[in-house]
Amino acid sequence: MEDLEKGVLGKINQMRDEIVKFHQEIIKMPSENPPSKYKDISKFIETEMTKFGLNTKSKRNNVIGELGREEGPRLIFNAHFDTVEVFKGWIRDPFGGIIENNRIYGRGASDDKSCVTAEIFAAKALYDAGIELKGKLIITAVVDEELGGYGGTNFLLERGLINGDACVVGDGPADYPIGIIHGAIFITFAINGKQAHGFMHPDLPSPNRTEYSGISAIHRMVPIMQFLLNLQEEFSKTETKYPIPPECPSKISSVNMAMIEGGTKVSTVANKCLLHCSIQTIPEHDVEEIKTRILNYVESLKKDDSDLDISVQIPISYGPHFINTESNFAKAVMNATRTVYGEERELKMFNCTTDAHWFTEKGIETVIIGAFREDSFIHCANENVHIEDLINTTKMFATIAINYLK
Amino acid sequence: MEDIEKIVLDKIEEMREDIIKFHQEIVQIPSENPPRKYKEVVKFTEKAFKDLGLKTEVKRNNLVGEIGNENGHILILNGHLDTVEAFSGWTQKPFGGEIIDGKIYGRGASDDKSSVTAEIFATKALLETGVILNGKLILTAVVDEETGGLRGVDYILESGLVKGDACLLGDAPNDYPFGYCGGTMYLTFIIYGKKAHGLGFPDLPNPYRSEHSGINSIEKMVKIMNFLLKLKEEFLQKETKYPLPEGWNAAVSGVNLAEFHGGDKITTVPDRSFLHVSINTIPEQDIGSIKNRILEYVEELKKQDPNLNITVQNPITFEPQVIDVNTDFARAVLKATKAVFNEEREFKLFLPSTDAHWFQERGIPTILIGSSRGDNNIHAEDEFVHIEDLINTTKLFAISIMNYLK
Repeated sequence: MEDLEKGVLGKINQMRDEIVKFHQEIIKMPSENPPSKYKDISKFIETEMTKFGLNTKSKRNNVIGELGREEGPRLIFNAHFDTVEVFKGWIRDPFGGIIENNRIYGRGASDDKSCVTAEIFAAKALYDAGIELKGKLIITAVVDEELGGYGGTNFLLERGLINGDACVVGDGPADYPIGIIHGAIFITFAINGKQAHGFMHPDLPSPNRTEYSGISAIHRMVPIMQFLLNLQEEFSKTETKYPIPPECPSKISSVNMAMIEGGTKVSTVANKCLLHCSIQTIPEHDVEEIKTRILNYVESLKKDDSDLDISVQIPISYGPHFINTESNFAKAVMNATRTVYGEERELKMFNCTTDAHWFTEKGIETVIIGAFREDSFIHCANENVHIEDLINTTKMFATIAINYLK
Repeated sequence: MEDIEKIVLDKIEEMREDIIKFHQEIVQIPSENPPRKYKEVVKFTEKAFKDLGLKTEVKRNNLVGEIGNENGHILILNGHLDTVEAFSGWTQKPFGGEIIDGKIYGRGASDDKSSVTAEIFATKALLETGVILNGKLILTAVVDEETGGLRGVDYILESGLVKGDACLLGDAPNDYPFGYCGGTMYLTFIIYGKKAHGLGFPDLPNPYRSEHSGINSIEKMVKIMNFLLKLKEEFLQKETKYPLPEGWNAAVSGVNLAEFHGGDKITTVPDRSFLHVSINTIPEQDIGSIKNRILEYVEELKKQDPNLNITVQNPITFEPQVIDVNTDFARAVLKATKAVFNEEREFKLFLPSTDAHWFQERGIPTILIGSSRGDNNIHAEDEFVHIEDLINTTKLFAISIMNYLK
């Protein structure tokens, strides 16, 4: 390990208590999305980043801090401080930031305030250690990741508020950096039926129909759900050949029927049904082809059923992305694993949707690092982060910056 | 037509404006269920009962009024004050009671405030013309019909507040008396899954699972939905031999997947889903055996899938009912059709579930006479009643009462 790295890692070890305290502080500030109230936490992060020596600004609650100089490569750090809602079932205060068994508990403790804390303290360590960066480091702490990223990362990139040559997104599993990003499709099926009294004017085929008969939006969703289950069945036959991190056991593409809302009353024919699904694909699957198959199936249903009034929305879809392992950036990341973990670790494949695709779509080379484990319960009750993972992630951020911007 | 019948019918014609005015007023008082705020509508109706000189009692918003003596049959008239919610999409005011082209518009205008108005004015016409009734007439205006009737008709019968030998129930189509009723079953399927990040820990089969994988409660419902839709297909093969009123084409049993709710978030595996189903059968079909088939199927699924955590609730089940046409009561009603329509009209089959079963289960023969037509938009936007149907229902009630309590 070089002295430069040693100095920075030493700094991070010294700051351990400060990092934990900061992390507890931001967990105590609710930033659930929805309802997307970010003012307090955004202000807090902006103030702290400024205090730590970064050149800081904020736009629509997204905080940007810069370090370094204009010449040379530009490296972006990205993490999000919006969280999913608390939901139910917690046995600890979801906004308590309580420490138990070397873990910090709370909504966002892992996903993804851990990486917000880590990226900021990585920058602070570089600043405090007086490292001269031969390029620019841009720290972004954004919102809206949990609802797609249009108001967060995409907004910053589209508006030209940030730009870079490479990016480290902190929103992934612990221990291994991610260099292969899966594909994903977010898809919503909306069926409009016709409301009617369920017993008087049920949705029956001719000759049992009249002009008053209802059209059940829920009944018409069933074949689509079955189609998606069949797709899942088919996906189960292809395992990815790319390495997966131990924290995410799935080697196959998957379909998740995540939300359904249909009908108003047990005695009424449902006039509306909404089904929200996410599909994540291994790199071996072609996202466009899957989209086309689904849309073709919907078209065939429409042909068979003139009463079917359906619209399909695909707010987000993106194909898989592979990092060039021969690039300076990939090498900088690999070297960092050696520094932090004492051994070089391969780049793995990741099957979660993060803000990474916004960067890769704009041609910015991106890796994902992070702090979550299977038992971090992200999106669930009793979310937590291991303090060790929080510190290691901070070290990874810092070391990648030193390696890439030297 | 007998002279006495003509006097009563003429009286009702004389009261036409009063009937319309009263009906507009009762429609103007919201009594949606939910939220079940009935105070005002009950007060309004109670006053009308008292103005008739009925011995009136209110229990849990259910109104019961009695008049008569112990010298004959006891006849119950029943209508319900609660309505389904207004829902959206109206072009008329849902609580306006406005008259356009001989129709009165508003939620409940047809279902079922028309029956309440009709029973009040039928009684008024008999009392004002001085018709002598032998026996007792009990008017009831109840709540909770739209959500099952446990707190309405079932309550007033179970508590002994109301007893009778026969019942005339509104809440049905116009033009024909209904002596044949369908069977009904309400079922709610609740599946508990396990929440997890939908892309990181999706619900996949082995070997792609870990202890942290989610269990998708929506996907597990699809088999049940398919089973129910197949049942619906099977029902299409069996048409009832009982006569349906004109314009009512549903001659088979129906299955309505009425409501389906599940999930919180598109990136999360849903840990709970609810499916509310209503099944409506023709008199030739036995509800009990259908229920057993469904429950057996669910048991079979449980055996196949150890992760399936499902409960089935069955709040309401009742078998179809067929009236004995050779009773005094049946004859009294058939004779009334002749007085009102100048021709005797046969009993028809009414499939929808109403409060009738609560009476029938207690051995009280029940015939339905109502004012709804296919175009009345009941349970939908722009509900209305044709004034002519409202008047005819009042007439049929009056003459049926007179004939039965003679």
